[in-house]
Amino acid sequence: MNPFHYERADNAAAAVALLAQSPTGTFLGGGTNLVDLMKLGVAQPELLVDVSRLPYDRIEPLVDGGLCIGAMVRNSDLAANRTVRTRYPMLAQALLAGASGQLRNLATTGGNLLQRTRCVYFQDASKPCNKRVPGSGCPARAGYHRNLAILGASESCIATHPSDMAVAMIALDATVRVLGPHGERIIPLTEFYRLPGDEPQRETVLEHGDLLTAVDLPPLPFAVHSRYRKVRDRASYAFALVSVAAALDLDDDGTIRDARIALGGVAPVPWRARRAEEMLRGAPATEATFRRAAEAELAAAQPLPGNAFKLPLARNTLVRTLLDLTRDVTDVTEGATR
Amino acid sequence: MADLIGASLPRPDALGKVTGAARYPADLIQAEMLHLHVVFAQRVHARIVSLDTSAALRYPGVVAVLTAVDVPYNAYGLIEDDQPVLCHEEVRFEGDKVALVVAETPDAAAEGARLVAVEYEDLAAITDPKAALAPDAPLAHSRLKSNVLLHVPIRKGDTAAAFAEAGVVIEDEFSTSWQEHAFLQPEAGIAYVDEQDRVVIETAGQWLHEDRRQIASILQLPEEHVIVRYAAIGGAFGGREDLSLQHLLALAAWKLRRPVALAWNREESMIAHHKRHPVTIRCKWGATRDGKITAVEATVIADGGAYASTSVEVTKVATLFASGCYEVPNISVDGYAVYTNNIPCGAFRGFGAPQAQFAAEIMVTRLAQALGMDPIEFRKRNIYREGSLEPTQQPLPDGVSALPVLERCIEEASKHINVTRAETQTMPHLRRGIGIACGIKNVGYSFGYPEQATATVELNGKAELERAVVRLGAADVGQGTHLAMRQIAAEALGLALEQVSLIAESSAEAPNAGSASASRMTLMGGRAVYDAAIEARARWSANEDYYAEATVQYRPPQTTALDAATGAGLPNYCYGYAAQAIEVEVDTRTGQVQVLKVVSAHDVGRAINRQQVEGQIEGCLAQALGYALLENFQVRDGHVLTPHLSTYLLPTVLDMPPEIVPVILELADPNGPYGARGVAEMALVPFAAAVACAIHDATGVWLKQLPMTPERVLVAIHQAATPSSAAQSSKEQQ
Repeated sequence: MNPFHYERADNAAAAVALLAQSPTGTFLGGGTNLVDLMKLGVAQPELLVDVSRLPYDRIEPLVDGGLCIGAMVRNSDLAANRTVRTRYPMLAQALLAGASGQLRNLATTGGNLLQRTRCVYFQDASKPCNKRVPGSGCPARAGYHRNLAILGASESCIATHPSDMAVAMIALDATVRVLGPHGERIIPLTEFYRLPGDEPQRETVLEHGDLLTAVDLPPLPFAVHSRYRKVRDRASYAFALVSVAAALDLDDDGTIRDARIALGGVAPVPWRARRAEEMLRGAPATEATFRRAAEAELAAAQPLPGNAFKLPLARNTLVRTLLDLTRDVTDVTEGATR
Repeated sequence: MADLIGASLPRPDALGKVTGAARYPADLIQAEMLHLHVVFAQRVHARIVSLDTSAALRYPGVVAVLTAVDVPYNAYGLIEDDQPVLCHEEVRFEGDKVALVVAETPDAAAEGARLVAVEYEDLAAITDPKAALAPDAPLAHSRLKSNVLLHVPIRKGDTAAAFAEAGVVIEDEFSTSWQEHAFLQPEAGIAYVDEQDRVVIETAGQWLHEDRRQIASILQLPEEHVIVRYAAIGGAFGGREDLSLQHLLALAAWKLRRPVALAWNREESMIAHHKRHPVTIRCKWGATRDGKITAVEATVIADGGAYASTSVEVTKVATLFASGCYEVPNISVDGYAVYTNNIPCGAFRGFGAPQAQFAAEIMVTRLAQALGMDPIEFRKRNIYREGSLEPTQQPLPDGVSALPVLERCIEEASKHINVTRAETQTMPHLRRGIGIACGIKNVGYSFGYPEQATATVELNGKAELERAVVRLGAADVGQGTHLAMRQIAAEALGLALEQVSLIAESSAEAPNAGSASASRMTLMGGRAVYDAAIEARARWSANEDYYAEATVQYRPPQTTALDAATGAGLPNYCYGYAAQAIEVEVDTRTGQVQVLKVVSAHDVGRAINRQQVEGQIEGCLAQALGYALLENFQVRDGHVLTPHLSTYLLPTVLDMPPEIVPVILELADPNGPYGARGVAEMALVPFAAAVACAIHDATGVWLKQLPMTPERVLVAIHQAATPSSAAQSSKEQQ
């Protein structure tokens, strides 16, 4: 590992100011991804500013009925939070589907959003990678890309975003609070991540020195009926081959009033499935509808030989999740009228 | 004191291993030691143009940089000396070692390693074993004339005539992949020169005396000037049969005459030590209408990687078992071990048998189905019996229990699994299926390889015999052999377990027991201990010295090399027989396969410690499940792409079947102590095929490639559902 300086910030403004002076420096949260990358020689920051003890470790209600999640809240604490479990079950499920118990105890909300891809070429400093060394090339396209993207990729990069939590949050229309050298701003999560294009090294709209301080969830009452389903190679401690976060709002007659859907494991960003949502609104909650919505969302997919299986996998998983949600909603409705 | 045999006695080492008190090799590293760091080639095939150590030597804390010129005899290997300790002119895979940096601290050693400047000229690399067979293929070893390390033919009867008369003939191709041993404790150790000028290596391994032989050869020292000691061993599975870093420790300690230490991290372990062979098997099976298998033809190609390791023996085993555990009158099999510039392959639990029988057991099931017969009944008609002729044309060694093991497996399975029909489907996309498979694997060394184990038993007491010391150089790799050996000695001597102690850790203090591998230590080491105990006891009774000792070398019935043209010969002196019944649930929407139940039946001859036998079966099933479904080692153009346990996925407890039923038969082996034969590898042999058969039962599709990942299952289901591709790739004629 390269030598580096370590500073612990006393307050957020000081942390931002510290980092602004160090062009290769970075913030340290739980360190569950960053420290690995440093050991691998993939990340070589000269300065680490430890922000894990800044006072952003609270989960608090917002005046609009939503929820404010501090950026330093640990994944395990967020997953165990009663409000999250009851009002946003897909978020609790997504968190618990990620990593291992030990990692969740350390990993922070902000760090989870900013974790890097697990593409094997990105993680191997001896290989070319446009994300790690811009312009060096992408061996994944002709190489090992089983776990990589079928949507939103570019010639220069087909990496997938690894987070489970972010998939649920992007489906929930979360917003991110950012403190930067020029003050505070709020960014919708749907505008937070960048598709790789020609600049796969730029993964978010953040500028150097920007610090995540919180994630806000809108009230979204129908998210009480939401699910996160993750397909992975083994039963725990594995990244998603495909995952689906979905919430459904149904009329009494089974017509879909509204829906929120996002996909994980298929794109360089947590993939908000807006086309599928549009197809669902106003349609009957049937398997045929769900299948059409899934096909519409995946129509733009550009699979490669080694990851083409993600197309049927994503379609089947999305349909299955929506069917399960429909049953959840119907069961509750029938229970209430009985 | 009696009834020690078969008792589920607790392991004396268990508490220390779960509390952390046990001292593994990395725990032996002390403050004043020098630290080593290996400079790996990271080139697939290249000529070393220049190697400059001056910058590394200038780095503060670096004491020395050793290169090829520092190695007295720069070649080693278990069977063939074809691997350089430190590469001189050429590197042949990315884990080849070119220099060894010695420094005051691990950090200085690592930094020094980065400063070793090596200039390479890339050479044409060969990484596809089939392509490596072509006459004009690039050579993995420039000095050789061919990439073929071994071609072994086995010929019996007349396959052409048999196929012409067969009622059903099926032909297909299967492929298996690399597997990583993934022992919990990566390679580590220390070495120093003692006051008698002997070099002492304290590490982990599977065979003290073979490690000593190879290290003595490298250092050009008499063997007694080298002492190998094993600390607690954190798993092996064949992965510690080859030298990995033991000889590097010895070299540095001997050259610098200072204590040295080296502990690899997981990534170094993954790229540097050998793997299970990927094998392709093209085969053709024929049977008569009344259900007799009459002919098997196969071509078995094993990717040996850059160095020989045990590829020759593994490939012979795979070739021998191409027809499974069935008596087939007409056989024509060609096995090839091929050099490539991929990571070397060598010993791994099962040693060629799981690969061969993945293909064989699927083919047997398909033959039965093509004939409209029950696959169990079909197996019973063809399975090895006492006196059956092997493919090598000689009768099997006595104690053939393949049929009773299968029958007992089915009997037990019927209590746990509805073997005739899978349980009611819970959801339409979740389909359940049952798979049955059998397995055979040799116990002990094969094909004329020298086989022996030597034990010493020392008896002390006064009027009565009071205590015994057993000396046996047997590695306890986690399987519990040290307790089993004491149980055997205590029973033979009529002593309590506490009265018997074992000295097994040092090549200087215990005689050669051979390796802890090939499922052999209970049979071979145990028999030597038993014979020495009986002999010492007789000497005790015959004198008044209050002391007696005996050293006995046990040699099992002789095996022979295979005839170069026909493969005729006596390949083995003992076999283990296994049968499994498995229930799976396949999610047809995701391709995920969950193994729900496993009934795993094994003839162990005699269970010396029942709990440990069950532990071996259950532990082996975890490794088998990883091999069948999950472990997906990626090598592209010679580069390992999955050197982390985050990218090479092993099964977790949640992936294991909720119900495992180990079934133990005790049909005595004629040579084993109390009739014991080996079990360590057996559960891996039939498992992948049993899972494939269960997937077929559930979905109607055959998986022919390991591991059986979700995408392979999905593709197979999709192809079967698509009319245009419904015509199977395999040829079935009736």
